[in-house]
Amino acid sequence: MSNELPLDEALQRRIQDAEDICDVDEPSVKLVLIRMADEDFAIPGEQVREVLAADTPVFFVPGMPDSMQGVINLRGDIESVILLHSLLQLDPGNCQHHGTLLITQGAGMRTAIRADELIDVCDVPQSAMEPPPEHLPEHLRPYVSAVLRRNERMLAVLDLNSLFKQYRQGSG
Amino acid sequence: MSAPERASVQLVILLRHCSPALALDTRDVLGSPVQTAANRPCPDLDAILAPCLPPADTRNEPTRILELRHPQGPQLVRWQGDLELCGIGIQQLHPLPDLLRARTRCPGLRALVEIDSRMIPLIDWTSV
Repeated sequence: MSNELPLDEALQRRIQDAEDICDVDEPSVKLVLIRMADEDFAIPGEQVREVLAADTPVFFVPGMPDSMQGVINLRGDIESVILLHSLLQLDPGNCQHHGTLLITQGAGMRTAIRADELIDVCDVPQSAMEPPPEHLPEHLRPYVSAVLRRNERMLAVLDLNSLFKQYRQGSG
Repeated sequence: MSAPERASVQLVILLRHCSPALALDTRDVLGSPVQTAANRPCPDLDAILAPCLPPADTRNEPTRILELRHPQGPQLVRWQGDLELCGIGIQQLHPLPDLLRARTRCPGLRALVEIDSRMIPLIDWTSV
């Protein structure tokens, strides 16, 4: 048996129904996945402003540590180019002049970082992120904010704020 | 209305093997005495600014004396190379990125100057 409603009330119910629909999608985070020295890492997407071609010219600047490759001219402004390998205790291998450049920001600073390879840019459910495990190597602890399980591998999510602060203070 | 894209600054460019190596603010360069270098004992710029200047064979370079402005009084230094007064467009003048400023070993590094597809250090001599 139908329960007939006045049109106004019916429309009002429809409007209310639409308003009551809530977003049941799980919150997700955007991550940029990179490879450095055969290890995979993730960087929060909000801290990656741009991905540049590997062959973007890098100008050598004298008087810098080996971990600073130089600067790039990005539409008229320069950005430093750094390698995180030393801070993360990775073998720089042949990453010196190859690999992707990512313009990143953290701790109020902006810099390009050189990675061997850009693997993916993806949205992952927040529940896929886990706190850093107990067995995480000591040298990575200050720089890893979470880990992500993906394709049977565990990726460390890098904390760029912490990395850049340490780099500015002379580490790496 | 001003045309900022045409704005420029005057810099003294120190050349080595005909390539730009270093830049100084013209206000910091008081002169370049023409007396022979042998008569003017003074420190080598290379020794003072070693991290900014990779080792180079200077045997065929001319020797010049520069008189530079400094808070402790004018200083004489020896430069093995050429000099050039150059107008630099402000787009060629780059403030130092944060991490670069923090990690440089180059004394007095104030900015970078883009010349001939190179980035050369602009030195603030008053803070060396």
